[in-house]
Amino acid sequence: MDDHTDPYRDIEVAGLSVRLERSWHVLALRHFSSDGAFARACGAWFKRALPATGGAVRVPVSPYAEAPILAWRNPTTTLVLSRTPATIEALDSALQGHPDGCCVDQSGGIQVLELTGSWVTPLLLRIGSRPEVVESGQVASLRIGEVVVTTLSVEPGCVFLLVDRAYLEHVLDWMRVTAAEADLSTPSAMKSI
Amino acid sequence: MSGFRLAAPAGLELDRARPLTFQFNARTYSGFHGDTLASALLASGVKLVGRSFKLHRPRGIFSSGVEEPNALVDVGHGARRTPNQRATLVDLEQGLQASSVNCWPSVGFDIAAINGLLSRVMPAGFYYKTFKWPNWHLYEPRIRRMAGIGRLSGVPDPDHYEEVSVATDVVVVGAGPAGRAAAWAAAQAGAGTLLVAAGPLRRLEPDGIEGPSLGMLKQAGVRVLARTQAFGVYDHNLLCAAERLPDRSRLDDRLRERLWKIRTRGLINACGAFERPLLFPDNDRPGVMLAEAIVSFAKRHAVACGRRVLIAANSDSAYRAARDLREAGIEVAAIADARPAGWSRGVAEGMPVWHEARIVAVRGTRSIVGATVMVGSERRHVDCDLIASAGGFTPAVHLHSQAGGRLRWMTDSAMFVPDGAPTGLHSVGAAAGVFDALAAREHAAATGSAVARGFSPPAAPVGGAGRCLADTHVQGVRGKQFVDLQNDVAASDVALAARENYRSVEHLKRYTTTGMGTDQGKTSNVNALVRMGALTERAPPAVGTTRFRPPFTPVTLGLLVGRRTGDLYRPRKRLPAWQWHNEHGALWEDFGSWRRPAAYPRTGEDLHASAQREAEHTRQHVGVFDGSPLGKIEIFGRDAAKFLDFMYLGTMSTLACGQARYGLILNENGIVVDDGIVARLEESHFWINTTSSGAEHTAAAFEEWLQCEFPHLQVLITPVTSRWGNVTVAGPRAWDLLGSMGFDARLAPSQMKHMTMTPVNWQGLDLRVLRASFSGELGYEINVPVESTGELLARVWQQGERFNLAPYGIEALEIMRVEKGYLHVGTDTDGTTQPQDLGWGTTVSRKTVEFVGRRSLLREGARDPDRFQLVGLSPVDGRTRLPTGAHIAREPPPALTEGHVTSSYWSPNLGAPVALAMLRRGLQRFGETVHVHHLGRSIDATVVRTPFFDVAGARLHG
Repeated sequence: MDDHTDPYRDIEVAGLSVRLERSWHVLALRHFSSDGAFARACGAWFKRALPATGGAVRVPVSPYAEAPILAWRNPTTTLVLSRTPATIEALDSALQGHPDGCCVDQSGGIQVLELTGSWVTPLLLRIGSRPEVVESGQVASLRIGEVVVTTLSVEPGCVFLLVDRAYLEHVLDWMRVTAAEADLSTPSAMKSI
Repeated sequence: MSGFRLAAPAGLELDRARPLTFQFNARTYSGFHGDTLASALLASGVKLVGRSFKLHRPRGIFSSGVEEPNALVDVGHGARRTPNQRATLVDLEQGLQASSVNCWPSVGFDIAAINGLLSRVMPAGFYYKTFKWPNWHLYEPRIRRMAGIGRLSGVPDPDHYEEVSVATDVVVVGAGPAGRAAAWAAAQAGAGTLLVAAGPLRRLEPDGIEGPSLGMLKQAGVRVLARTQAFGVYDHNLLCAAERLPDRSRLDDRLRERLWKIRTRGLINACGAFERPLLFPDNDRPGVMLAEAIVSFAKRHAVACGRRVLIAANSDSAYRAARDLREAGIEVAAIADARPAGWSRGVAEGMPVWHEARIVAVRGTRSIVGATVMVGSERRHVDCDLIASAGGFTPAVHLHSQAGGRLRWMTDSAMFVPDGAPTGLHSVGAAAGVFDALAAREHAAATGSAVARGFSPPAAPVGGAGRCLADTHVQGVRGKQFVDLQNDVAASDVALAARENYRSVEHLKRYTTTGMGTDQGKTSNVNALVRMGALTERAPPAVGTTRFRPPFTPVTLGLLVGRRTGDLYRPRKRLPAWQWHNEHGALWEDFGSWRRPAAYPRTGEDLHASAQREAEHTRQHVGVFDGSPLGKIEIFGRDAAKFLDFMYLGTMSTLACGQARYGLILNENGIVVDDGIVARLEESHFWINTTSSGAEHTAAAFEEWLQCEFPHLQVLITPVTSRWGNVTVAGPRAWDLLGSMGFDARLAPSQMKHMTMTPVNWQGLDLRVLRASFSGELGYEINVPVESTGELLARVWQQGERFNLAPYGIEALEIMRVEKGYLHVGTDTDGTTQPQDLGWGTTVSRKTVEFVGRRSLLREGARDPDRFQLVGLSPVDGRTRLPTGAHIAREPPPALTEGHVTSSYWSPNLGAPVALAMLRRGLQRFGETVHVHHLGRSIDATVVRTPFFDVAGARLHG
């Protein structure tokens, strides 16, 4: 661990871009059941039900220009990701007062990495514990270098990794080392994955 | 020097247009691309390759694959030196350097070969019986030096390793005819199919194989992983395989191996079978080889392993081998078949065949010059430079067994075969005991198709191997008949084990070491257990087999480690305001998984001096500390208070909103596993602080209790450690500083009491401020949104100049908390510490509601008055710091310990050492003098009550 260089710098190599996008805000919607009052209030706000198990979706919400992302995380947690703080604040306000659920702001605690490029799949198969990479509309947990991260995709060509802030450097280092070796891997080895 | 290269077209895997040179034992040899080190050495006439493990007998190449017991070599040089590689699996590369192991000064003249002369007094169990007195450790270093085989480079491995996780419908392990048939059929049935082949792709070219060729497989959509050795089947059909990446000599800094983690719903084991050697005197001499290996070297690598071969047979396969060798140009002296004439169905095509024939002597030590065969009562002398051992077959059932499959014994063919199929794995071909080539391919194809479609595969048509003797041991002859070549275990050692009643196959293995080592008994296990069965009048199934465990073949540590080296060895956490700490001279150290400032040394200060200054300064003025790693969990829900009462020793349901309380967390055994502060933010909303290292464990434990025992409770547990930074301002001028910064006047100590928490907004930042203190000073733990941690630190620092503010690190905090006698779970406690050992006995007895660990605290052991209890210690001389970890005992060691020092510092505020200790019956021994022993020195100390500093606790309140 180098204590004097920026540990969160982007990774840019041929076929791969990993960027830390700090403008994402993350709200955890915690609820006891998916059909309780809190979940119904969420549904009313988003004008759709919360995503089912393993689902992720971008949901347009008027009047906000950018549609937030809803991602299932576990049976009692749905994550809301937005780069518009007002969206998070409005949602938080709208969901106050329900005894069967609460909002927990995880902004900054959960960091969002954006992965794009043709090398994303080989990279994730090399560093993650899962044998598949999420496709658009999916969310899943995996381990990267002993750290549990959430991976999701809401449109083809881009994968988000949600990483606990404290482990962000470790996960980025793991990617950095792997990506550096990508240039040394033979093409046939790449194709074999 | 009898081995030689055969003329083309022999050598399916050779590329004769690409000659290579390499070195073995510092001599230069030549070979071709496609050679293994073993084939190139044999082609060069090299027979003596190594020395045996214990007796240092001369050994040559015995097999052509993973089962090789003899030809272990060190490969590479410098940092890339890799020990104990099997020469049969080392791909020849230009400039490759290899050397024999376990010999000195050379493989030709090995001093330790004297062991062979002493072999009569070094049977199995020799070490256990001989080196007991006066102490094994007297002998251990020399024996280990002698017993060691390959040598490590001694420097870090410069190569890189990676792992890849993939999923596919069907995986076929083994690219023989059956494996390819299964893969082709599976792919044709529409399944995503992966074929794992240990050899190079070249081996799958049309000229060299029966069954679907590489082209056919690719056309069907089969993905082929060549040069990849499957080595383990784990739960839920996880297959692990090691891929050797080629031509690693081209680049200095590149990937060397790749670990494949393959998840599949259908795994097909087509690993084939190992040839079983026969037992006869001196069956380990260089030039005695497995018959199939000799054929393989001839066909694949165009190597004649000798000019005249005597075939020792116990299987019909010997006849096929004889024909193949004769066709390759190797003269067959005779087939000495151990079986009665009626058992054999082999066709000799005019070659001499002797039935009920046993080799009773082998002539030659470093290479063979001949053998004596007893045919009935007649002794026949044979001149030969090669003996082919064809003793039958042992199906490679390792993956089947690792997956939980059972085995059954086939008496006729003397082999264990899979008995049914474990979940998700099916064996085909020779691995299933199917030795008829056509039947094997048909069954494999049917299995591949069925697995792909999710149907039950057909039963394996086991058979085709013919009849063979189970026990080939030759009675009444001189000379060692080796059962296990790698570990120098002879039939006489098995007999000794039987006489000494080590009859269980597991005891046999450990007593004699048979089946251990890099080959894990692939050629020896069946012979050993059959021999044991014969000696103890039991059939082989009654003797049983040892458990097959991964890995099937040795794997490098680098492969298993992957990228977990250096900074990636384990995850480490970085503070949110790490840059601020850098700018202020932090001395970083690892505390648990966190990288934290231990101190902020000034010029000329070391860690100790800096910590002393910081602790003193904080008590005199004001200090700032980054407590961000402190565990933080939010608990929400109607039943939150009830749940916390259950999880903590300390009642949390009686907290009013805004109040906070310290509590201990116990496990089911009543052991203290964490501690921290619980604050009630709202009626059904709590904030919890855990220890820095206990945050994840505590959240997981809470979830486990909630989900497994109390699913009816309405409680939501949300870890927020990473969401919140923590800036702690502590010291007598803490409020003066914060007040001057415009913090809400409600935070003043006159209004906000110790152990309360309140949310405040300060200059647009939503903060949660806790009045608590681990230093014993007036303290404000300001929880701040993580992205603003650095900003808050900077603002505090900027304003703090007026108040003589200084940062303090972990070491200063430790000093201050020991001055106050505050407990640090994990430092002052261990896996035996219960709350009553920490002075919490009254709380335990008074708590009326149930809590985790309570029942364990009622056990007799928990009430033992002799338990170790936490106390303070002061050195009698008032100046000698007690070493942390030093034992307390009435007498110098060896003596019964009475406890040990858990935390110890020099207190700059008292001008004297302070220490905490776990002491037997400590809470009843205040005022008593005890003796602290450390490295031959004894220090007298007085047992005292804590705190040492600010006994009344007035400083906490400002």
